[in-house]
Amino acid sequence: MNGLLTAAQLAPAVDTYLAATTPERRWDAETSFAWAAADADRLTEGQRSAVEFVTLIEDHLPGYFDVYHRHFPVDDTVEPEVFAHNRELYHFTVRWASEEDTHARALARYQRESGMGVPTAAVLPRFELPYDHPVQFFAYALVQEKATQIYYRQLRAVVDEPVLTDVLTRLSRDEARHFTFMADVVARYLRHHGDAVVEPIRDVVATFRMPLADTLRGYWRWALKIADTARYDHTDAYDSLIQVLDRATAARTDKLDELMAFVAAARTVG
Amino acid sequence: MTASPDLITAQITDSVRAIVADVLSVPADELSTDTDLREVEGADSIKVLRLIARIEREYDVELEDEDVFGVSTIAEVADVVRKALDQ
Ligand SMILES: [Fe+2]
Ligand SMILES: [Fe+2]
Repeated sequence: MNGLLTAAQLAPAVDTYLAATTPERRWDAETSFAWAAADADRLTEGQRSAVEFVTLIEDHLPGYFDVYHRHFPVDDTVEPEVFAHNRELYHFTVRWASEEDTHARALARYQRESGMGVPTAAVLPRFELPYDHPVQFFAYALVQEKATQIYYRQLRAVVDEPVLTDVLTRLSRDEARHFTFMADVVARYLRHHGDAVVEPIRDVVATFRMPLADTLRGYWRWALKIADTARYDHTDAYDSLIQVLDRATAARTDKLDELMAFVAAARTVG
Repeated sequence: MTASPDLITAQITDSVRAIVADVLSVPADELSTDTDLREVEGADSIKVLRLIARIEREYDVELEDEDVFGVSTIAEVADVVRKALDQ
């Protein structure tokens, strides 16, 4: 992949991310929640459906990390400079994976403890992102993390069940940190590579697909249905993307302005 | 009296066009049958899914995923709806 940041250009984003989770702020699915109080009877049908939906999304994350490992390998199949970048990124990826896996565990445990039952593991086909520029993997995840954070917040606002509220609070804080990392990396690409990354980012927005949209039969109907319980629309994240584009660099160009207008137009209104 | 197949397709096409215009907030007369839905100003994959869900409701059909993700124009949407109705 051409157009990669150097390890030194990426490192500050990784450092900031890792520094943001001090040991006191860490949590786990085993000890951080009052599981005995979890009670699905306090949820509506739609809210239970939403919990199942987000459990599936979080559970799907191993496939997502595979994409990163395939595209940013940490071995001698790549040049030394690329290896150095990938090794730096790995500090982030491995922690990120662990956090997302904790999300999957917390949601699955919630389903069991609250009386919703034991979630069935869905075997999914291999996930792939059809990108050829590195910035695209971060721009895609930026939208994904922000959209998820917003959804957890929206769902929490309508839920009247303290344990689920706690879980959703933890989850949305983590997604906010994940978003911050992705935003930081995208901004670094804009600063170091300028207009060369504009078209690739545009491409991500133009071809954006919900995760699992292609892999799970009838998934999209479910996704739209749970959106009626709490607003779920990945274009809600576009305001944040526009802010990142806006603040990344003082050197504004026509191409960048055009990209921001394009993202704004793709935003669902209302 | 039974409507001819062409007439039915034309009716489906018209109502698909009306739904697309409504969901994507564009005037119906600006939409040709071969307009790529995802290229319409302000459209994205979610909006396209929303409008397909609405078309499914109005015609009481359930489209195959391949069709849902395979169609890109109004004519193609009308075509898969027609196919689903025939089943
Ligand atoms: Fe997560
Ligand atoms: Fe996340």
